[in-house]
Amino acid sequence: MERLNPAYKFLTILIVGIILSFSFNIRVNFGVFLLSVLMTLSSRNLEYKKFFFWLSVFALCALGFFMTGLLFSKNIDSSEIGNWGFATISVSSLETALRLSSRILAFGSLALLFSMTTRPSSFFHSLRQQFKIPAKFTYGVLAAYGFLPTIKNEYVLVRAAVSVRGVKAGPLSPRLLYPMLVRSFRRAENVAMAMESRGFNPKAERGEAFPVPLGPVDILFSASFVAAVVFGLIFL
Amino acid sequence: MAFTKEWRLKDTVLIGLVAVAFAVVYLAAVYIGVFISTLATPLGLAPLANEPICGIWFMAATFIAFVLRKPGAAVITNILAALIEVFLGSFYGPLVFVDGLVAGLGAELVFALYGYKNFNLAVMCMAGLASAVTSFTWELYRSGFIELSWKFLIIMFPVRCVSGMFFAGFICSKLGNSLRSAGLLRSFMGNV
Repeated sequence: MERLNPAYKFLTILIVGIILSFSFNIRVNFGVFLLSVLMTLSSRNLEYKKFFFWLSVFALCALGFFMTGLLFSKNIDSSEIGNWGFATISVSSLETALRLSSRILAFGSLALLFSMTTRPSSFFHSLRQQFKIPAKFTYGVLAAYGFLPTIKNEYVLVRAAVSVRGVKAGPLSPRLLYPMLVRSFRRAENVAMAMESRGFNPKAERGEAFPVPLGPVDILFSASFVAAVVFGLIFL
Repeated sequence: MAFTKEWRLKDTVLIGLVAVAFAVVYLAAVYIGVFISTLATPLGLAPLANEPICGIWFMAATFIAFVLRKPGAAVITNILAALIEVFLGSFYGPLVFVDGLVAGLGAELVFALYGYKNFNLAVMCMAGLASAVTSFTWELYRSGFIELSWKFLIIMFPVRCVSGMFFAGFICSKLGNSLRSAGLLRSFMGNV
């Protein structure tokens, strides 16, 4: 999985996700979930801890949607099978619950299939090479993405600085966002200037320092994954 | 006014940086959302728990539009913030691309109606509201809300609208205005 072309992998998963969004097939949802988990596990250098952490987060959310579907379904028929507090549970509300929660699992596993097996930098290079996104955007964003660890640190730092002064600020307070944005503006200007002074010219013909290969395997993966989901929807 | 239609390199670096900064906040919001919705699970109210903070996901779009005032800024930034979120570990993975697109388009539409000239509080709030409306319409399908009873949705929808107006409208215009009075936006907005 980690050797597939990132841009095509992204497109494939996006198409599968959109197909699933407009269909309500429990078996296909679980099928996609299993398939994506297996494909992710088959890739090398997987960060298992992170993978299972996110998988359990998705499971929690799926549980949340399951309960909502169970208690607030619009399809309520007379086939009552139980009670939960104020609500009666019928066969069709159980089905709704399964539909909603299996879908969360399918989406979550698709997300992990992409994010656990793709390096951000090669994804942005691939976007430019395969999908012809202008260099101005991809390199600008790549430069910014390099600051991710710094900005994460900054968030912790600003929080500490604020609490040291005895100011109360929740984790989402604008008080924290403001200093981070101030630095972003300064940094944007400095980084852009640095890139331009080193001769970055978005309009020039470029060579590829990091060519991202695109092979028949990628086409095969895309075609077979989408085909499998479509077949699943028709026959399952 | 020095608004150029063309994208300069520092604009694209800026949207990258702002997207990253907001992505860090988004991630904090995801943790909070999961925590609250886990508490709400036994009552079956888990999806509702995410609604009050839903507006946070529209903030990057309205904020950047406020700063750069270019056509397309809101959509592009929201998509980017969504993409970066994918790598930080987001729920819907590549599907957030569509989420970002849909929510960004809502805000973009409002700004376009005012010719990218008017960015006062009311317009910003309307942009947040528009994002809430478009994203909710899309989520009827994506999250399967359409399968739920209308009583549930009728509570959910206004909460999301208020959240969009508060975070993407009120907070972003407050942030933007205070950054502007600090003189930080001068080189991006021209002398306004």
